[in-house]
Amino acid sequence: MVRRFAALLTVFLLALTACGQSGGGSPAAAPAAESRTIRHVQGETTIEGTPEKVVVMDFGALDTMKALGLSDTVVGLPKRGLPKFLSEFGDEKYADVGTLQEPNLETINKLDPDLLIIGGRSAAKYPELSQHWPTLDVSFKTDKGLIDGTEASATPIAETFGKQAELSEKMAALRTRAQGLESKGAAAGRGLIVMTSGGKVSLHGENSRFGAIHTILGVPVAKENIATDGHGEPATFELLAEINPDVMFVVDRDAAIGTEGQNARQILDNELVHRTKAWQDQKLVMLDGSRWYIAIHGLDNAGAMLDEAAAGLEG
Amino acid sequence: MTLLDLARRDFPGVVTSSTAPGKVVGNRIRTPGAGADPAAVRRRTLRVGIWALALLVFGALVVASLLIGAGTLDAQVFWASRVPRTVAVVLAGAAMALGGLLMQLLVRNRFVEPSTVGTTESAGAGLLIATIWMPAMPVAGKMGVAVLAGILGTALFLQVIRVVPVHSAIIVVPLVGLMLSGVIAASTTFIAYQFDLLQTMTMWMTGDFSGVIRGRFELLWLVGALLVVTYVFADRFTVAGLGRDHATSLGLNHRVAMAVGLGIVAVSSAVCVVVVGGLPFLGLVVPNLVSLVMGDNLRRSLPVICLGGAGFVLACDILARVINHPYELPVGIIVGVVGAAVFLTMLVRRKGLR
Repeated sequence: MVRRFAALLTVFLLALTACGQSGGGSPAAAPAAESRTIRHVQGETTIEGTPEKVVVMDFGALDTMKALGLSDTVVGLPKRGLPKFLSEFGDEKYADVGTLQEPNLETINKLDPDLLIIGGRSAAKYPELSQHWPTLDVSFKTDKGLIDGTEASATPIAETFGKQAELSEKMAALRTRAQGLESKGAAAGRGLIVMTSGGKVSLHGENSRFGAIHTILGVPVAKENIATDGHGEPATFELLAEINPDVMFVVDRDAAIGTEGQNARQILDNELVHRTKAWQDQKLVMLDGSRWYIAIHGLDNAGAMLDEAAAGLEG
Repeated sequence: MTLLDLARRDFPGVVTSSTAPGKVVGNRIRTPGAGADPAAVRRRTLRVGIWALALLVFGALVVASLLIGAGTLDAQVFWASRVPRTVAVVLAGAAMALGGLLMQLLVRNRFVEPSTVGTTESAGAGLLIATIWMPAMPVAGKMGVAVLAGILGTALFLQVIRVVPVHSAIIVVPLVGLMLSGVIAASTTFIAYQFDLLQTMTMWMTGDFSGVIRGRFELLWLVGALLVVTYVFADRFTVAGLGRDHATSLGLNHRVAMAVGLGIVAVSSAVCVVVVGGLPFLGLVVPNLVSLVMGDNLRRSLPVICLGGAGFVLACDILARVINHPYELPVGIIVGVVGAAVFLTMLVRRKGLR
């Protein structure tokens, strides 16, 4: 509303000045901004020209912006819980626009962005945000798997800024990287993905957000058919002993959201987990929660995740 | 003449379920001519029957709890996982049920319990504050903060209900409690939201025994000790439940009894929240059902209430292990759903029962 009014006012003033000009040199006509229609998770958004002021409400998308060389267009982001690998966005030249779940509309309004990029935890705000600003929802879809999901999420961003060529290049490199890691995963033995939080554990399967461990790295599953609920299946330590995985991939959820609580190793350090082969061989691959649980589908992050898991298997 | 005998003389029918003034023999109440009064005989038979049935069901639940789990049963699984979990469930269930009854006696209202007057929420707030500002603090320290917050929240509730007119409808006090606990929960949610701890907070406050193993539940023995303390001072709490003036006229230091009683409630609720999370409605449902049958003599009904609370949570926890086997469901959800249903039924049928 405000924007539309401002636009009308601008047109009106321009018309006035144009009228007021005494003949002679014609006014330099700005090149007509071409408009593009970008398809994304929650529909289509028409974008005029190339956005210069972007607010990014999702850390995966932020990582993709950085990977595509678009950091300079970012003006605001939620700074709480910013992953370490994106720490440059903590700089004060970037505005803090609330949290992932709750964008601060007033702050965003002050920034007057010409594009919002949201996803995952902020996706539910789409109806509200898209009323005020052109908005893209680039939520990661778990069922596509890490690589195709990352590509699907980055595509609307690349299209908006005309970076399709860079995206194809990066994706090709990512796929090559993934293929190179497959043999490592297959030789790792039966793997189990465990998330720790508040002294308890939950298990995650191959269709979960951490599923790349099984689907891309090719680590055999220690237990079939673990449901794909967002927070996994709550489990007892008894069950961990029963499944007896050869290797455990551990995500510390409390560290991912910035609490310094009991760390994952402390939670797992008990007599029942000690019975597992994974503990006895010290095959606990600690995964960086900010990469695996918070950011996930960043164009650089996806490769870094795979590398981290593969390096953990070696170490 | 004990305090309780005085109370019985002055308030027949209030202190015990028997309508005739009784004489205490051992810890049983003998009403005059009990053998001749068929109603009394019926009552006593009923009581013995209830006890036998309760013990039988409880024993069966304990055995089931020791046998059911995600892993294959061997000595280590038994001692490191099954036994601790069963003990934790029994202690927490008994403590929350008894905490409800103590609170109902001392506030003199049938419809209050720690999770509906702000005690549990305050303890959660304490835990959150300790986690945010003193993350390096050992668990015992965080628990201390939670206990302190639980006591403060309970004291706040008592201050607030002092302004409720004496002759208001019975539902006013619990409603005030619900509002207060709502305000505390909202403030806690706001702080948790500021620090991105909402989901963690939810996990804490939802009762769940899946993380209980040897070495990680022992603080609950403190709650067990408080149960014993409550039993020792049961008569004083019963008399305190008659109201300040009556209790004082019988020679009880009402203020001290209130402070000790509510202190016990706050400490045991806080410990339960920190170790296993919240078990909503338990303190409402179990004491109310037991009171219907046994009246309000705490010394007599305490064992039944502890058994009832423990048995109910055991049953729910066994369900929590079975429904989603080999995975878990948070038992707090099951307790809340079943408890709320029973509580509503009681509210609706209350007129018919009295």
